Amino acid sequence: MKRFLASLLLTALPSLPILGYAKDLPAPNTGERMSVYLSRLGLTNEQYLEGLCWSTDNSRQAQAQRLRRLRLSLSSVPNELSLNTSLADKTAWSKLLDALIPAGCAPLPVRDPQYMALVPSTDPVLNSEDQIRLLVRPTQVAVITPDKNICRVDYQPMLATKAYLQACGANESSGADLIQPGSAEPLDVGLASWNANRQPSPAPGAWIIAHGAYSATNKWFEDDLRKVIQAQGAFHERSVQLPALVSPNPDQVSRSSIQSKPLPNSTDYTDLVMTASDWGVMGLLQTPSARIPKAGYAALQYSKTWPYTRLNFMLAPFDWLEAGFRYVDVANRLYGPTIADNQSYKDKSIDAKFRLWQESAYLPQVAVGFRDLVGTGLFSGEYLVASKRFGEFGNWDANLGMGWGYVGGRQDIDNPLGALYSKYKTRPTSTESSTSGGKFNLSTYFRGPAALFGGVQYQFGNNRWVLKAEYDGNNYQNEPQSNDQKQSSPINLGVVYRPNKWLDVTTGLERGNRLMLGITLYTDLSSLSTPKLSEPRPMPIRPLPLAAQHESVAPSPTNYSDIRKSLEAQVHWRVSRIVQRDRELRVEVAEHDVFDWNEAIDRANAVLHNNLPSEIKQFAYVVVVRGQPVETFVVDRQDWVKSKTELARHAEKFNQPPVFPTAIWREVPRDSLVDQTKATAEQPIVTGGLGFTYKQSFGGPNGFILAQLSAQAEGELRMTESSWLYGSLEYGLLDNYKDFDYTAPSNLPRVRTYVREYVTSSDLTLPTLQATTTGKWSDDLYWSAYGGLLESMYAGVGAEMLYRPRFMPSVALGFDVNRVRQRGFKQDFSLRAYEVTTGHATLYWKTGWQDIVAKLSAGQYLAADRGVTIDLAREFNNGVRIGAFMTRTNVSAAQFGEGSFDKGIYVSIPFDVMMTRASNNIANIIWRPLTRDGGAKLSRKYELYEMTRLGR
Amino acid sequence: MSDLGLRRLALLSVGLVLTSTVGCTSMGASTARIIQDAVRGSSASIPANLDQSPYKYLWARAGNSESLLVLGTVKNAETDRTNPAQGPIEVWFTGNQEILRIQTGPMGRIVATTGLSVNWVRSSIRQTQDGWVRERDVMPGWQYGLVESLTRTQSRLVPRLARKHLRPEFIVANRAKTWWIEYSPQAPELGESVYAADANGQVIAGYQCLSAEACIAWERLGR
Repeated sequence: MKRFLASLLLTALPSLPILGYAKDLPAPNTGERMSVYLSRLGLTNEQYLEGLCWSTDNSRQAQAQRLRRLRLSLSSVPNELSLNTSLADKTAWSKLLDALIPAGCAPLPVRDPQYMALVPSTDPVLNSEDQIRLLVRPTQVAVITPDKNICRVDYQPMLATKAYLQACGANESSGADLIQPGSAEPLDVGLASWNANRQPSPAPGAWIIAHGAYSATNKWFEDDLRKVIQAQGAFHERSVQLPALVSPNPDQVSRSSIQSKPLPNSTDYTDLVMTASDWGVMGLLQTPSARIPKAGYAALQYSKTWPYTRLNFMLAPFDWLEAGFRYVDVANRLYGPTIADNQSYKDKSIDAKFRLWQESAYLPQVAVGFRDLVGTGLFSGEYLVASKRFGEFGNWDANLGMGWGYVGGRQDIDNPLGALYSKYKTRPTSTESSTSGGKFNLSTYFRGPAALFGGVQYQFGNNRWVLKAEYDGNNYQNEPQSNDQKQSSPINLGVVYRPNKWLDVTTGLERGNRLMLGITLYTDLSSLSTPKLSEPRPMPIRPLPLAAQHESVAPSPTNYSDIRKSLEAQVHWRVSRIVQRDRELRVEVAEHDVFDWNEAIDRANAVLHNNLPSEIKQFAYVVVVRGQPVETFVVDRQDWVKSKTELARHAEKFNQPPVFPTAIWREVPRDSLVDQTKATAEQPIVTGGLGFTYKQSFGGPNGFILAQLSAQAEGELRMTESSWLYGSLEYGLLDNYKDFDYTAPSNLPRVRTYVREYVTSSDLTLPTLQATTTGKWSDDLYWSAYGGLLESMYAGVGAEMLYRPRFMPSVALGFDVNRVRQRGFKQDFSLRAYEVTTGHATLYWKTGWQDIVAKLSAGQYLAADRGVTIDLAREFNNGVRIGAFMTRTNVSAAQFGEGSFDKGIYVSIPFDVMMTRASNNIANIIWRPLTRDGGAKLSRKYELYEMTRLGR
Repeated sequence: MSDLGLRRLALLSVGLVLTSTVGCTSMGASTARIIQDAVRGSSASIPANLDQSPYKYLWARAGNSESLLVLGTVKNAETDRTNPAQGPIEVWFTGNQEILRIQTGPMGRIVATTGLSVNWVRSSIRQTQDGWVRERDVMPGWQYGLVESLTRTQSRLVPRLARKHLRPEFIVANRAKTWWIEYSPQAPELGESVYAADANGQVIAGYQCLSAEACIAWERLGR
């Protein structure tokens, strides 16, 4: 749907009919709902609810305050807010601000009166002082130009923001803020090739602020300005003083160019499409780009180009880091005939790519990357690469980079770093630098001859197809394992088909003579969530005054046993006690299956609110874990009901996330009051269940995948509130262990490398049989003691202490000590001779920086080696974690053996984000390249930190 | 209506006190509460004795999800000044805070929705010298003021789309005497729409797409 600028410019500017301001419309009654008020007006289709302006005392004051601050910053008298800009700029801004006729519209999340009636939390309660304005559909869009003029342009469907800017002569603007009528947040719209993004069309009555207008301003000025404009509501003639309006000046755009060039539609703009290269990292085919996917990206990719088949697993924990691991199968080389028969060669490796700086108008995005970073170094290489978008809508993306090692296998240019340091002229082989593999091969990075690589991709407008062409940095004449390949052409060509949002299929021609096939499955872990369709419908919250509520809803007398059952049904809590303490009702939650506590407490509040007399003013939920209270949530009943049954009149409310106001979360000491127990429930003595477990390992010499499916029975005998006996029994159902005959060599006590013996000695095993007791020495200090068959390989006794200070909730400190003995291979009650004392001091720290959660442990490991484990993870808002860990101990790389030190990558996914019912369980997917004996920890069933940690 | 990305619509079979809402042109406080009560009701299958029910129900299917909607209000034609001759607009509610607005009369169709993943904020059709023209505002994406011509074809035979998407019981019952098939060359992604009219020419069922992925089949149940 192409439109022409001429039609924009030559359209007459009609006066805008306005249905009425407050003075024209009947005043709302105090206490009247907005939905009722609007229905009373009898809306017609001509009215434009997006232009509905609800102006309250609060919202008017907020806008006036912001205007005052903005004016102060433009004042000729220097002050703390003064903008460091020219007098001309200040004058232009002042003129613009003076032109605005403040409307003070408060944010409204929805404007459909029937929907408001359905969802009372979106429906404000009005008072007679409120002013309400309704418009008929505006016919124009307002543009604040780089010159700080307000330019109005006739609205046309589907046009891009750029078209309106062009009409106002702001052709050069590379971006703009788009403030849609009735929308909560301004959109940052990219209009140049380098920042083009998916964007909506401006709606009738929208405001556009060209980014060029912000020159020499600062962040708070821009924020305040956006909020002031937002509070103006939909643009119409009475939004501004008429003389301030500037119509598009036809002289600024020549008629001839207008007619030859169609105006851009909003659908012409799309986000940059990033797709995986053959190696899993973002790029073209063999070559990487500087692009990093959005944080949360996770992908599993299969790619094949003779003789290599790659299985890549890539993650992006941050917007600046892409990392992962891979297995490479080399079809024409053997793993090792003595240990693996005819199995082809397998190689494990880890990659990482870091963004150095982001793309801007003139500078490309630049990244540095490492391939096969800590593996055997077979395919190790490093690269520095730059990427730049171009084309009117940024559909082209070009890369240029320099590679070393395997990435620069062509080796046709001297290493520029060699001019600075001569040692960079040659690259030591990986075996020279690391005999065991698995180490950071620091002495090889960026060494030796290099090669240039580069290429370009083109994404079609619908983002379904991407074409790729590249100049390969490798000529395949220096391949590892003397496996050189013929290259007929250094140009590789490919095409990516993207049928949906989770699958890419790539095919191409590489080396001029080999077909390539790639399949990538990907998702965004940070946005994983599942509607809770299997949960009972939340109870309705009646928007009645509490006094009336008691009479109409709460049964008399209150049946606390029913409340307990309702809570169990609604939130899966096992309630041990309900206690009334003065005007507070306290619910003790003995067991729970909750990850999202906001949702659970909302549901519980609804149960209590509907069933309790109005004299109860406060709800308290005490979460008890193994007999120890770990958290108390306190809710002010009236505040909560109000937050759920009407839209807050506070001007900023709509911008806040839909969680409880923090004010209602407060612990009130009421120890002087007497508890009245209203209900109690005995906890079951014995619990248990049946299920299945699955174990697997990849990349070993006896087969690429070794796996076992077992039936599992587990049970728990509760001896006291805080003491219990847990046991699990497994029976192997299916496995492919018949060829499993390889036991890895070891120079250390064999604390973990008897894996084969443990999994193949008996079908029936008793992995755990452990007695545990817990307690609290103070509000902040927890302890536990345990003994028995602690895990599949060790039995013994141990104790743990955890200090979790309430005054510093981001930090906890734990200590554990264990005396353990190795178990018999059949995982029965037999024991082997090896025994050791192991334990750690562990610091748990939510750093607050980039959502990083750190776990640092120091102590003695199972092989009696001593050292440190560092575990860093990014935790997303939905509870998903992407992390990595490494352990260094006083064991040398040679003693440790292959891999040099223990390390791994993991992803933790709460079941809650994958299931249609609430769950507190967490799925941990851990990838550890090798299981060795150095740096091995006891796998404890219960860790106090996890036991006392509630979900989000 | 999982294809719309919306929460699954629960089947409603609630005994609700809705008498005062049917036929209302505006919605008072009591009506609002009654609708809240209605749409938060429990799930059940289609009631067997619909004709005896004082309430009106609409069957709808999107993707693999079937739903029963309950009639909340009816906007009289006088309040719909852009399209006065085409009959009142019924406002139907799902059990999951979603709203369908359906034009009654011979031009019956979904004219607006709220709470779905793709919504027609408003739409209207009018007849011009060149034929039928539809204007609509679509969210998300702020696609406002889309103007499209419509071709309308009448048929006595049951169209393929109707057989595929409407309830077999409806087809067998032979309630539809005339079928209307619509298509807009300016919006090919929406495909064809089908509307079934009874002996009085009133549209009683339909199938139409709000976007390429979000298509809804619907049928008025009972009287």
